[in-house]
Amino acid sequence: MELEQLITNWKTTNERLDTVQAGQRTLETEVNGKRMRTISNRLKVGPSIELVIASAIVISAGGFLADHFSELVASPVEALPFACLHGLGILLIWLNIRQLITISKVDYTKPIVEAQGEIGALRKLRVKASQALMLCGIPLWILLPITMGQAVFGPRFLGSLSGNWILANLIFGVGVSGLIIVLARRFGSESKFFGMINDLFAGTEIQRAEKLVSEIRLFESQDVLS
Amino acid sequence: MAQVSEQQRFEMLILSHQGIVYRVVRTYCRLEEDQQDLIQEIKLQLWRAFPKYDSSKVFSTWMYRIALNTAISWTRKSSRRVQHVATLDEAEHEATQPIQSDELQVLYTLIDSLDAINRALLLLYLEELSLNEIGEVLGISPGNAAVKLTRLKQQLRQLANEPQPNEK
Repeated sequence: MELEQLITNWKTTNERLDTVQAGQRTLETEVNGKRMRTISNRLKVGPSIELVIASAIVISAGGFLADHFSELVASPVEALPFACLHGLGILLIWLNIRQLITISKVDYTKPIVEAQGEIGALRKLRVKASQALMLCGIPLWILLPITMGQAVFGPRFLGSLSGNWILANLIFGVGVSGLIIVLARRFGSESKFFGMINDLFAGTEIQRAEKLVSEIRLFESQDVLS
Repeated sequence: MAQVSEQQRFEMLILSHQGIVYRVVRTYCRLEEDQQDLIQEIKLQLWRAFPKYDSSKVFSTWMYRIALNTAISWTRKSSRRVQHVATLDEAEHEATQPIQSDELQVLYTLIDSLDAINRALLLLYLEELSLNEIGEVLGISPGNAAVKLTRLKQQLRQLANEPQPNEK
């Protein structure tokens, strides 16, 4: 079959298909925004939720540090759990604001190589942020009971905890992370949730995101026929 | 009033170029259900971008950009859910009856074997856009588009001349 014949077939087929498709459902022009689950809106969901959570963490931790400022200045070690939480919250806010800004900059009227490059970079950023969150968040779970205890009983609550208890819980956090990785590998193919975690830890997600970026770079390059 | 006329203008332009949307959708997605979703998605993106449309420029080129960008992003998002669906849907099958299915299959096989950006290049070539227009839609120079097209055509010829699985 000749190339020209393929093009002719393409045209003939599409003329017929266009008629069939237009007959099945005329291209409705109601564009009143009823259908809001667009691609960019879906991309915004994760960072928006994380931004709200991180803001709540920063406000709570900042409030606690301000309320107990004089006590904490006298004993700075007791400020450590809330300071860590505050720092993590700020980091999370920065990461998510960066993602939301990048999403809002994605412009589909731009040439495909440029627009898809931006989307690829955004996906890469999102995967890296999720990876960092999971890798840091689970081992640092110990911050949660300590800060809750300090919030209820005051900053001195930290002094009532033994070093061994803190160490054991830190080890427990690391152990839980390991267990999640093992479970994700074991049940990754059966469960969507574990599959997602497995992809994240195994780097499949980042590979996917990087593949998209490298595909675009390769396409964009001014290569010559070999 | 101005809003109504803007919408009417948009509707007219979309209706006269709706084939572009259908062909982009069929290039990137085979499932009837997904096709409907993608058509809606493209339509919405077109409406959102419409205020930025410069009427001194060719509408079809602008439309190809948005439709292809939306389809590529949509395909990547749903690629984990739906990989490849080899069969044509019923309507498509009915519409393509008079054409030898082997010939059509060659095209679909080639389309499916390409990555998202090269699919766009193939579609624009099959739609007979000029090198300048292809370069404008994709964001590459016409020279680069020509090089990539030559390679793609070689691939296409090779595939077209290969015996198909059901050929003896």
